[in-house]
Amino acid sequence: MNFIKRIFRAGRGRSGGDDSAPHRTRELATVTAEAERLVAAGRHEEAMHVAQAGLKKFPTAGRLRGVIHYVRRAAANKRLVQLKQILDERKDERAYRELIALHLELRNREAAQEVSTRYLEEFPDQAEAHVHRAEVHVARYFGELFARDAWSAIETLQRALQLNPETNRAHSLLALLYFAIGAPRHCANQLAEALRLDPGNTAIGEFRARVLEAAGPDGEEDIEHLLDYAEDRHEIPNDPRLFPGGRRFALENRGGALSPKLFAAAAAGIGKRLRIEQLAAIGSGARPLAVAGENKENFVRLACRLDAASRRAGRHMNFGTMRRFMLEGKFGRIVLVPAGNCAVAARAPRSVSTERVAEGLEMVVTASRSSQADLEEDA
Amino acid sequence: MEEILNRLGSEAWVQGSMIVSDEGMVVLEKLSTGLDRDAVAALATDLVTEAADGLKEAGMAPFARIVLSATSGELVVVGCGSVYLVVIASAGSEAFYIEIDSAAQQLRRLAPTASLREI
Repeated sequence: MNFIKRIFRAGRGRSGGDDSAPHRTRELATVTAEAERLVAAGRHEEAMHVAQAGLKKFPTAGRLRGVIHYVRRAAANKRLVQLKQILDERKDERAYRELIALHLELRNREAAQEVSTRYLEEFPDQAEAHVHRAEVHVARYFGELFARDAWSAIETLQRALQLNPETNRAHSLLALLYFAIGAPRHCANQLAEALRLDPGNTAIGEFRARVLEAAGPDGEEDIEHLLDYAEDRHEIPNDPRLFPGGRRFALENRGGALSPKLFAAAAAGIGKRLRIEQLAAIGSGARPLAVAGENKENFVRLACRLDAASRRAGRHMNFGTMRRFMLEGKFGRIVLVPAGNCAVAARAPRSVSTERVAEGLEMVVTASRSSQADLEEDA
Repeated sequence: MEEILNRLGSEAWVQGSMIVSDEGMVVLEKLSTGLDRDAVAALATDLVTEAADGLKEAGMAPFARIVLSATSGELVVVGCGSVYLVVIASAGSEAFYIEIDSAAQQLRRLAPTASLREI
């Protein structure tokens, strides 16, 4: 119930938009109250219907969108529990696949990786197990843009194709990766294979023609260089959403979607509660994105330097995905965590644990991003 | 110093450790195969330099410890007087930091007085 109240409160103030006339405002309030009442009563399906109907009339209503998000998430979580029970009882390939897909949908990338590892351990000769493992790597790559994940995805997909060259999904995923990092010829080759296996897929055919047209006469495509370039700039040249098919692999928060205004607001509330004294967000190319607290300029400069140095170190040490970077001294504790295409840093007293600061940072980022995502969706 | 690194190296979670001077010179190292001595030293020095310069510029005190955590490992750098202790580990736990702090303390007793040649 508290959670429901919270999400509704988060949406408050932005549900207006074109419903400024008093009667429309009243109508929206009635619809919203009804949807929220149904959610609270556990009547999720009905709540979904009411919210969806309401959104048709009031497309900018943030609280109604909140109801839909909540109901979808609740359904996914329920299914998650069922699937885990199935897998505790027996090895079930379909359950593994569904569970991985659900975790990816809920953006539980660590959990998706764990499940895909188990799936692969139990079915090492199944091409599909490798493809699902690769999907997790691809999701992680688009979430954090670490070239290592893209390499792992490519290797895993190649293994899947060795086991079964007719695995269409493996060709599509390879094509998607090559498209996103800007390797049109590699992409077109994989699309040709996908088309051979699914000749009726006109979307793939059309997309391949566009990719080839964009490729131009230059034939050189150094994948390693392209991945390094994307990682250094923390941005890939092509948006995966343009790729035909499902939208599970949209590049997360592309283009600095973390709003400085929302960041500052979230930082003020959450930061104070967790005794965080300074907060900064760093965008791609180690440039300041947002900052809150005292002595802002100095702190954001320091955060940018630390971000660049920690990325260099993490990449060259082959440590996998960076989780956090921490410095401590008489100044207290500075914690820096990567967050999609940016990084956030905070300074807190040493009495506040690294875990606590990192949790606080995640909360600030989530608050800035979820609100921003709603704004973008509304737009 | 070698004894200190050997003791650390006997821990299962330690992939390697080294002592680096504040100028980036490797004083002593015990790295497992697969870890490039010069690369680790260069990266540790880069981290130390960036952190130290950044803190100075921001008007803050020097750091006592740096921890870089990733999904497949951790890099820990602890200041010990005129040298830094660098540890590459596979996973973190409470015992992990206690062992490193204890090694760093022993180093601190040696480092300020001993010249690099004596070490």
